[in-house]
This record gives sequence, C-alpha cells and structure tokens, in this order.
Amino acid sequence: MSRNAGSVAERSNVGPVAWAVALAWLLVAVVPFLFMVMTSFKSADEVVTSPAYALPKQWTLDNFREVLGGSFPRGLFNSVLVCSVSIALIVVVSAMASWAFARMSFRFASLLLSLVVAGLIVPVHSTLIPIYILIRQMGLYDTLGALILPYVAFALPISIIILTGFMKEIPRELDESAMIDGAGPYRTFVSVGLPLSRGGIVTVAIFNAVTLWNEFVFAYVLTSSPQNRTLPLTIWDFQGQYSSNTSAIMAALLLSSLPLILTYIMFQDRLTKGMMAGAVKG
Amino acid sequence: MSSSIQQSVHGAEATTSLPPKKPRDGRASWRSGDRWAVVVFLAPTFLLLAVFLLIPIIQSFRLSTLNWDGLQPHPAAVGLDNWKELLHDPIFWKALRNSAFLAVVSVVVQIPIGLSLAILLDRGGRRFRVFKIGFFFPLLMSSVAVAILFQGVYDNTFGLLNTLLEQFGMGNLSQDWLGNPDLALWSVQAVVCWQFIPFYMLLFLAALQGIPVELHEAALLDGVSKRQYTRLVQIPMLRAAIATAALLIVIGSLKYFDLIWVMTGGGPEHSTSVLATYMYEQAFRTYRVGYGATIATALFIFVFVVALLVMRTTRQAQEDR
Repeated sequence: MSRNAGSVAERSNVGPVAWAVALAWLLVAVVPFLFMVMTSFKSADEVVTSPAYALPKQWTLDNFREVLGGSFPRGLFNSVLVCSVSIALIVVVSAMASWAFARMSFRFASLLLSLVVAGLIVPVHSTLIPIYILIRQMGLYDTLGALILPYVAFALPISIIILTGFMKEIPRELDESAMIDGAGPYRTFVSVGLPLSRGGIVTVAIFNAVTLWNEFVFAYVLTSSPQNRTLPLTIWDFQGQYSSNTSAIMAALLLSSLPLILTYIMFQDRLTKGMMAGAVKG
Repeated sequence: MSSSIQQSVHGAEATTSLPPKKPRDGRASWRSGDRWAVVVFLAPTFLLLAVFLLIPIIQSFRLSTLNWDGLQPHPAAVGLDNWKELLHDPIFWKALRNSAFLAVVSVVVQIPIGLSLAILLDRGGRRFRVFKIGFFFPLLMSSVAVAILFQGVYDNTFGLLNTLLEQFGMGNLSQDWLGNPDLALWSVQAVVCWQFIPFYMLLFLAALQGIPVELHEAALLDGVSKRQYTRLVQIPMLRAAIATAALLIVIGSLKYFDLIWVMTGGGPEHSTSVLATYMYEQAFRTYRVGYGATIATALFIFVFVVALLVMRTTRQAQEDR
C-alpha cells in the first residue's frame, strides 16, 4: 500500500491547466460555504443593506448568541444522544450477525445474507407510512426512542456487509485456538471476534455517525415538538421562525456543521474512509 | 457476495479433509458446539429487518388498496382504484420524469467531473492536499443545511448569485432561480451536483490509488504520456468504480427527498417534485394515506426493478469478459 500510483505522481509535475481547474473547482466548492460564514457574522440590518458577497463591516456574535439561546443546545443534545445509542446498538447487532455470517456455517447462510444485501435497496420513504403508524401504536410518537429503532434497522444491511467482509479477513487460527481452549461460541465472539474486528467496527461507527447525524426523514415524521427534535430539524424549525433573519439562519447552519468540520480537521483520513465505506458493491 | 460465502464454505470443507494435524476448523467445532448460537446471533437482525423493512413494504401495499384519511377506524377498501388513479395522475408522471432527469443529468455531470477531479488530485499528490480538503467541504453539511444555504444563495433579492451577477454587469442574467417553474429543477440539480461530486471524486481517487504502481512505472518506461496513461490505463482500471458510481447515483436519484423537500417543497407547481416528496405531500399533508402508500409502493417497485436491471447487466458484463 505504501507504493501506489500517488507516490509516483508526486514526482511528475502538474501543469498550469491542472492548477486552473483545481482553483476553479475550489471556488465552486468553497464560495457558498464562505458566504455562510460571512453572513453569520453580519447584523440583520447589514444583510439587507450591503451586498451578499461583501465582508461584514462590523463583525458581530449576536447571531450565535441568538441561536445558542434558543432550541439549538437541546437539538444538539438530542442528536448526540440518539446517535450514540443508535450506533451502540448498530455495532452490537451487526457484529453478532456478521460473526455468524463470517464464521459459522448453517443452512441457508447465503440466502439469508442475500436478504440482508437486498435490504440495502429498500427506500426509507416506501416504509414511512407504516412505520409512522407502528410508532404511534407503540406509543413512541414524538420521543427520541421512536428514532432509534428505525435508525438501527436501516443501518444493519450496510453495517453487516462491511463487518462480514472485515471479519472474514481475521485468521481463523485465532478463534479456533480459543475454541480448543474450551470457549463456547459466545465467549469466542466476545473475547476474540469483537476485539479483532475493532477496525471494522470503527468504520461502521463512523459511517453511521455521519449518516445519522444528518438524518432527516424519520426525525421529521416521527417527532414534532421542539424538545424532541434532532439537529437537522432544529435548524429547519429555526429557519421557519426566523425566515427573514438570514444572518441568524446562517449562524445556525454553521454551528450545526461545526461538529463534522472539526472531526474532519482532526481525523481526516479516518473520517473519509468511514464515509466511503458505504460505497461497497452489494 | 453470495458466491464468496459459498467459497468460504467450500474452503472450510477442504480443510476438514486435511489430515487431523490441525484438527478442528471453524465448521466442525461450531457444529459440535451450540447450534442455537446461530439463531441467537441472527435473531436481532432479522427481527429488526422484518419489523422495519419487510413488513412495512407489505403494509404499504395493503394500505394502497384503501381510501383512508389516517383517522377513520374502518377505512373503505377500494381495490386497485388508487393504482388506476396513479396511472392517470399527471403529477405522478411528472415526479417520475423529474427523478429520471436527476438521475441522467447526475450521471452525465457528476461522473466526468468527479473523475477529472480525482485524476487531478492523484497527479497533484501532496501539493494538491489543500484542494482535497476544500473539495471535501460540501460533504460535511447535512442535506437540510445545504438546502437552507442554497435558498440563501438563490434568493431573489439578497441572494449571493444574483448580487454577484449584478456586480459583474450581468444583472440581466439574474433569475428567480427557485421560483421559476422552468428553471427550478435545474437549480436543484446544480445543488445536487455540488453536494455529491466530492463523494464520487473520493470514490474514484481511492480506486486510482489502488492501481499498482508497477503499471505506472512500466508505462513511463514505454514512453507513455500522462494523457495516454490516463486514457489507456487509469480509466479502464476504473471501470468497476464507475459502474458502482452510476448505480449509486441512479438509485440515489429515485430516493431524493431531504434536499428537495427543504429547498422547494417540490414546487413551484410541482416542477421539482420527485416520488418521495409527492408521497409525503399526499400522505402527510393532504391526508390521503391510501394514495400516499400507493406512491410509496410504486417507488419501491421502481427502485427494485432498477437495481435488478443494473445487477443483471453488470453480471452479464462480467461474464462477457
């Protein structure tokens, strides 16, 4: 892996056209973002009186104060809570199934795995009405608990595919020797399978963290009151309330994106790898 | 996927037939061990998949045969009336056309740009690291945040786009980007590309960096130019990644909801409606739950058929080779 095409390319020089194209796309990618940052530091008056592309004449933190004084902290807390509980459950449930698929042999194994793979293509929206009815019947409507079960269920197919692939790479000798030492299937899973799958589990956790942090549809349909909204809904509700106050809205957007941005800055490669894990072929 | 499982099963059998020096392979020990373990390990997964994926799909179909406002305790069964209505519903066909438009334009725009950017980053190496970070930024925002941000960019009077156009003396080009029904879908499409091109760029970059360095060295020795190397080596080696990207884009296009619903609500005049937004509108806004479920089931059928078609063609392509 240390010797790849990238390392050779570093020796070859990059022409002016390449620089121009790269700069052009950098503008496309970053300008809307800069617009958001700049606007969030403007006063509400300045948004109306000065052009959108101008830097703030007077930098102000009022917008951030406004956002943080509202429902934003609650939304942030809810998002963190729902994401952590969901990811913990996703990891446990998918690791168990993956271990069975990677290590145990049983009838219909390949059929069952195909069923899991088929789950990849089920559109969330096709299940939305029945899940809404089910959650109401369970008495979970407008609670954070309503989100966790669908989040876990829809995350399972991709997580199981990633983890099964990972677990198959673990040398069999390791769990065999555990079993020879008399460990049963559960002990082997907990003391050999899980620790050796750490890399795969981290990937699954990152991928789902990014997906769930931004999840919209279930949160939109299964919750309604501000104290039970997760962050994407909090900022949308906020936009509904402050529809004329663009600078406050941009501050809310910036604050809501900050956690992922900071994570990216700190763990660039890890995060990229986790996010790309969803692109495996079914 | 399934074939690799079979392979590993055969592999296990092969090891069993070896002389008993390495006595127990996984298979034999599991069989003598707890058979119930398999059930225990798989039960939570299949329980959740059944309750939240499989049964809702079936329920959706059942609801599509009802005329229900979501409240009535005994909704009237109407057979296939909803389906007949769907076939004659111009908005449904418009939503489907819009999904197809998003899919086609996304494939045509995102794959070439994503691929070019990936080749650029690959050639630029470490010096282009700053570009890689910048290119990545759209991926760090949720679809909701992207939608709200671009409402600000597209805003008629205070928006970034129109004010910039005026500043550069192109004020006559300024538009009501999201308010004009002839233009809104293109404006939405532009945001979709902005948001997802970085993803495909990274997908291609990962594939490029998986190409063995020996190929590049051999090409250099043969005096192959950079352009020829890209055309003759890199792009053919990326065929699988390109097929994956196309599949993800097409299926993703059928499932668009968040971005469009927040940015335009499917409007104006349903010009940006897709199946999921129309389903939501019918079921949760106008309380025609049965009809919404019909659209939801149709969406499932489309995605399923497209996935089957794509899988068949890729399998055929592999067999042809």
